[in-house]
Amino acid sequence: MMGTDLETNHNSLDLSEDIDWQVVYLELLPRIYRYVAYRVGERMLAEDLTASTFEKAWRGRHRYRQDLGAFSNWIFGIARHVTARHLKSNNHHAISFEDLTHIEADQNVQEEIDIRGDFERLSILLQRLPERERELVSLKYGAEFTNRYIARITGLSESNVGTILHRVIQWIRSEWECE
Amino acid sequence: MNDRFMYASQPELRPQFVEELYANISKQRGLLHLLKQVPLHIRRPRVWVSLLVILLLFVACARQFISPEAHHAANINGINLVETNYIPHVMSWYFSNEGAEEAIESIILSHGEFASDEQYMVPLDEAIDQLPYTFNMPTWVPESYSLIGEVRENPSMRRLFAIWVSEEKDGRIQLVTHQATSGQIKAAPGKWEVIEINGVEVVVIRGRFGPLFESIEDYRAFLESDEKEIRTYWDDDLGTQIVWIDNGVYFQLGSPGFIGAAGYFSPLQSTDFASEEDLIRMAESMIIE
Repeated sequence: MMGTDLETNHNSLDLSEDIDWQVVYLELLPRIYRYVAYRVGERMLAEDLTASTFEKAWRGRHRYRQDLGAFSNWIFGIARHVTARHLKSNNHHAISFEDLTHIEADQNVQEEIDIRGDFERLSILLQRLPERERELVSLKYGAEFTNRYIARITGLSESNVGTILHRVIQWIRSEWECE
Repeated sequence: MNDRFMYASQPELRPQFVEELYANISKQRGLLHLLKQVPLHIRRPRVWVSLLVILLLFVACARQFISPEAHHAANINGINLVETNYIPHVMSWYFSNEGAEEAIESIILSHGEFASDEQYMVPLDEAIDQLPYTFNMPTWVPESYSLIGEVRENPSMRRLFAIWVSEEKDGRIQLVTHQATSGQIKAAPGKWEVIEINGVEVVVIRGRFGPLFESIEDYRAFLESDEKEIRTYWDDDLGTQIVWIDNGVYFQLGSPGFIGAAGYFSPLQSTDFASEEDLIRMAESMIIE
């Protein structure tokens, strides 16, 4: 069945043959944008990387005209690749989540959180997450994938994904509430 | 796990970014990309198949009401046979004086078989001697028919017209020859047949395109009008033609054509012409194995 590979937390697209690609664009664009934004933490940079993703994917969309599920998987694959390459080229440093929980909140960071909007506040916290945890959060709350699908594409077990996300969200919430 | 704040913190897309990105990815270069910009629901094969079926049905229906101008039907021993239900004629010049016969003789027809003012009457032997090709005149003609003693010959076209008249029938028999290794003839669909005479494929055409005018009054009215083109339609009652090419010579044997035909103003019946069997027998006497 078309689209079973793409499991999201909200209503799936109508994957019949009558695919309206404008609707598809409007459906996938926010999720990809949010995924990228969660990963890089900057709105404008997220727009650039999202645009790059869509420009690459759009040229080949005719290959998936009858398989939206495959197209969606493919375009998310491009988004992850584009984002990872950007982060790698910008020397995005990694830190373990265990180390993170023992670090006292930086006073400057806390002040910055106070004066920004919700996404910026969240983004500042996300930037402190290790690579794996941030990817999982981005896939879950940006791309809005299910834990099962996230487990499939990351190679983790579903329970492992759930556990990691639970711990991360607890930490983010505690930091959030400490403002 | 209370994670509602995570969803509540999702960044919103700028509408301007959405529009600009869509415009950019749609703005592809090249013919293929232009094609890709056509909405996919239009490019989908099922849509095109449906459109094709509709188009074919339309063409099929149209063909029921609109006769095609002409289409190639067969090539018989160098003769390109074109099927058509009507042919147009264009009057290019004429003498409009002194009665019907002269006027008819002066008509030029645009479809390829035409007379010339260089055409003149000469004795048969003299005409044949002047031709750059040789052929056998019929050694058999139907009873009551006789060669009128002269043939019309067109030096520039290397064409010869021989005419036999009958004491009993109004319809004449005409033989036209000219040098050719290929030729074209028009006939209505279903009105022709290929037979073999002494090893040579010949086309038997039953009927021909009808008179241009029903009466001398019609003809004069046409001359006085601004019309330059008139169509003629197939008439089964205008005799039989036998057409073939043999040894570089084109032969057309049968009822007279447009020039000098008795049927122009008083159409004849099929019984007024030599029968198909008689014409085939004449042809057999010309085609020697």
